[in-house]
Amino acid sequence: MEARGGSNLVKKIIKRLKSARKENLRYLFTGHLGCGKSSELIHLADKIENDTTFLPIYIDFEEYLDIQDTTLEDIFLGMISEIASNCKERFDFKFNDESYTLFKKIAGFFGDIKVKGDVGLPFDIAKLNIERLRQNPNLRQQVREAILKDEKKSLLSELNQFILEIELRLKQETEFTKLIIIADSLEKIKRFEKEESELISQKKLFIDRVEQMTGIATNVIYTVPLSLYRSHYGTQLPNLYSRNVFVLPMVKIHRRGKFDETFEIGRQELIEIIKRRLNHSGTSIEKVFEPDALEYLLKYSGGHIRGLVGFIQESSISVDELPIDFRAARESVKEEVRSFAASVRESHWEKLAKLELSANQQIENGDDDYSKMLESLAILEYMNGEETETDDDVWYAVNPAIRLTIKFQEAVERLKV
Amino acid sequence: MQAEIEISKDFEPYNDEEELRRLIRAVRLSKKHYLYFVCCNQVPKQNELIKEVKKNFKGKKIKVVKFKRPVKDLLGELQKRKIGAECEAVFVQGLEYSISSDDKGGENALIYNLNISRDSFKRYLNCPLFLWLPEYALVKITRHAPDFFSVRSGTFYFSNPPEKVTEQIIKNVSSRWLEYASLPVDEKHRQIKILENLLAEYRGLHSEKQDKEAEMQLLTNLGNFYSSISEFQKAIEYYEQVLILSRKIKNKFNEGISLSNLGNAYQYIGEYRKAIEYHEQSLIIEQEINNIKGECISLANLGYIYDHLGDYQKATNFFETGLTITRKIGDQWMEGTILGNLGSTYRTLGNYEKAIEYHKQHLNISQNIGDRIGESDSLGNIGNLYAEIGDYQKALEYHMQSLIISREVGNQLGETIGLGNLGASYGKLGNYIKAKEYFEKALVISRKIGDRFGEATDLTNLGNIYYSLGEKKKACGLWKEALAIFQEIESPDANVTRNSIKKYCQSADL
Repeated sequence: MEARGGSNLVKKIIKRLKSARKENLRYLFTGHLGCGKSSELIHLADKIENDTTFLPIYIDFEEYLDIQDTTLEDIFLGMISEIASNCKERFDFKFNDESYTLFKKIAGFFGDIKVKGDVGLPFDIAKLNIERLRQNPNLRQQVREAILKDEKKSLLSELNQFILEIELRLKQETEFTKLIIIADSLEKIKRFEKEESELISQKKLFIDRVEQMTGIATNVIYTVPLSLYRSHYGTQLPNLYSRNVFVLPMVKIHRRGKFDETFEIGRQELIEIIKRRLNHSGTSIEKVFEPDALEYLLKYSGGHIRGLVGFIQESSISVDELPIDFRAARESVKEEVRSFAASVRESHWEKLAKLELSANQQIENGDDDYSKMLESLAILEYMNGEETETDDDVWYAVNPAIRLTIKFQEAVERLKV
Repeated sequence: MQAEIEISKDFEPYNDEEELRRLIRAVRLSKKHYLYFVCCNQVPKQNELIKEVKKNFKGKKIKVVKFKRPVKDLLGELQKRKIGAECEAVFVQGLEYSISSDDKGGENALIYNLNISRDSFKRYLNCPLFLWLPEYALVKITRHAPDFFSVRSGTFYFSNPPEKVTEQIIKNVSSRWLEYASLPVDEKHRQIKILENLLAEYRGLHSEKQDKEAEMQLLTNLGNFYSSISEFQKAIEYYEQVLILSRKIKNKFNEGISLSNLGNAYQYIGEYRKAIEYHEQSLIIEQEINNIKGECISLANLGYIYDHLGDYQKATNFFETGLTITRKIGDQWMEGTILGNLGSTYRTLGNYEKAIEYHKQHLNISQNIGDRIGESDSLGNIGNLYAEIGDYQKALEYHMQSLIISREVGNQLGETIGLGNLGASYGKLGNYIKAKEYFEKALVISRKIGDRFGEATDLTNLGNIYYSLGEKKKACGLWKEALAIFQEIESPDANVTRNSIKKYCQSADL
């Protein structure tokens, strides 16, 4: 049994890919900021490559997008250049650039800039050139306009033409049959098509532009922010994307509604993650922690991986030398408590208390306040892991650090009365 | 449901020394780029802490970048200043200029750029970066750039949490004027420092976490402290803030009090018309919300001003009305103060019997309740009465006692009045040199505290002395200077000075 359905998710996705017949799958993948989404997706890509005939193209869109100014064209360009460079590198594919008029036109913008050591594609939309657009708003604007002004072709249709060609050649020349694009970091987009609000931006991209987003002629996994999925717009998402939104929850470190009952499988999973990281930096868990300090940090991380890493860094400056002792561990949690005490919106305390007191650890569906709290990690999302519950059962808990704030405790007391 | 909740009260209280030790360790241990936040609301305290950190790293290159105006792109600014690989730690201060305290954050250029360039920092800086911020700015970054905040390796707090700040304000603020106005002057300065630090601390909080009620009390208290040491301009600044705030949040009680306090401060610097306006506005509110004590204070103050404007009938009326009400509510301090004022008016009107009776009652009450300012006022007033009936030795005794108390509690207005009174008695006794000394000292203080009436009085008196010493030209010059001020503030004392000028300064060379 998995603590958060972590590898479960991977298995599930692979199973669905295998059983998929002709239709292309478009999945959404989501989870908290810093919950290990990227590691999970990279792991997924490995598995897909080993266990299936799909060729995974993992794209970290942070390399391509200015998250404060993103359009669909930027996303498509990122896909094209990543697919092209990937296939060039692995299979030494060459393409007939005459059939890609739009690509050719775009390549013209980079005419003078030849990047040394670049994977030169026939039509010259090299990865490094496209990445450069991220830092260059003027050039980006010119490229976008050129794409939009083109009357003969849309970028999407040319992308699809390209995908068809690639997939055909994959079947002919390699052991792979189809592509699957894993589009990571899209959840970080703050402004899409000049939209002011982050939530609306995300809604516009994943809901209003669903035709284009699902119009890509192959399999795609997009990352969406948990705050969109849990907002009132979120309920539409499963219907729009192959009935599948995969949520990577927090590592379940305590039992549902029972903060003091450690969930051993989850605890072990977190310890494994830390061990791996520490081994990587040439040390060991025994050298870094006194046992009670480790337990305390695990408990108050709430199973949030980046938070746990932050705790470890923060505690290590509270001791003169390692190991981190209990006092230092508390010190780092205290800073977290302090940050939350200051940043939680006054109007949110009551809702936090409501969740704490709710019978089955649920939040109101589509309440944008809760979606904001998910975004700020004030509320953490968990999944099952216990035999008695069904696999997809989702529940929520208040971030353990928030439990320690006086404001929260007062709000709980008020609600109890 | 969770059975047992561990409470945050269990944490050790925030301790600057421990935080500083952690900060120093972070500087020492961070060999490559790490991001740290240092929350400290007070800039002078930031400076002290940075000095302290630097002391621990002699020879280590800690670069401090201090912005004094808004910046849009921190990374760009650091690059422009060529703060790069040669540094071993970078401290950035002054980012609060770029982050306003309202709740809009998404559109903030700096926060926007921090978010998008968060990966570029580690490419450019090979050493830890410490951002020093007041709490509200940190909250805005937490809320609007959660990605940037989440990659931090540590946060250091040299500021108390919001509830603690409010708690400390409430603990330190006193609404008992009587108690703190009578404190020794050094103690007042010490407390002002504490309160001003608290205010800086409070100003660093996010507006949502600010307790406006506590803020108004704090500002009023600060204003009162400054008023009690006769720094009226400073007092006015604080009172005005209370007025604006109370109107904004529609708090009538504090609006009335701040109007009354403003009137009070303006009357002491001789701006009588302005003072009347404030007191009249205050009076309307006090009556509307039935704040009887406030009403008495406004009445007493109006009486004081009309006395200084020479409208003794009006003054007496205000005092009498105030006295009746205050006796009903049994406020001794208020009663003593009004009696003292009434005594002064009766003295001006020549009714010495009533005057001495009221001043002695005032003295009695002040000594009973420990009102040092009232005590020194009444002693001075009694001294004046003795001078009036020609017993200058006795007058000197009283004025000296009064002066000692004024100096003790830092009441500079009382001090300049005391010095002037002493000068006058010495003058009457024919000791012009001593008189001149006292008047000159008085003049310096009157000017310093902006007491226009005092200044004109001191100038007149000094003119009188010079006249007696035979320096007519100098005397006339001083009188003319005095007359201009008396006229400006519409004081009836202008007449006396005008007569002196008419009488003694008519020849061409004067």
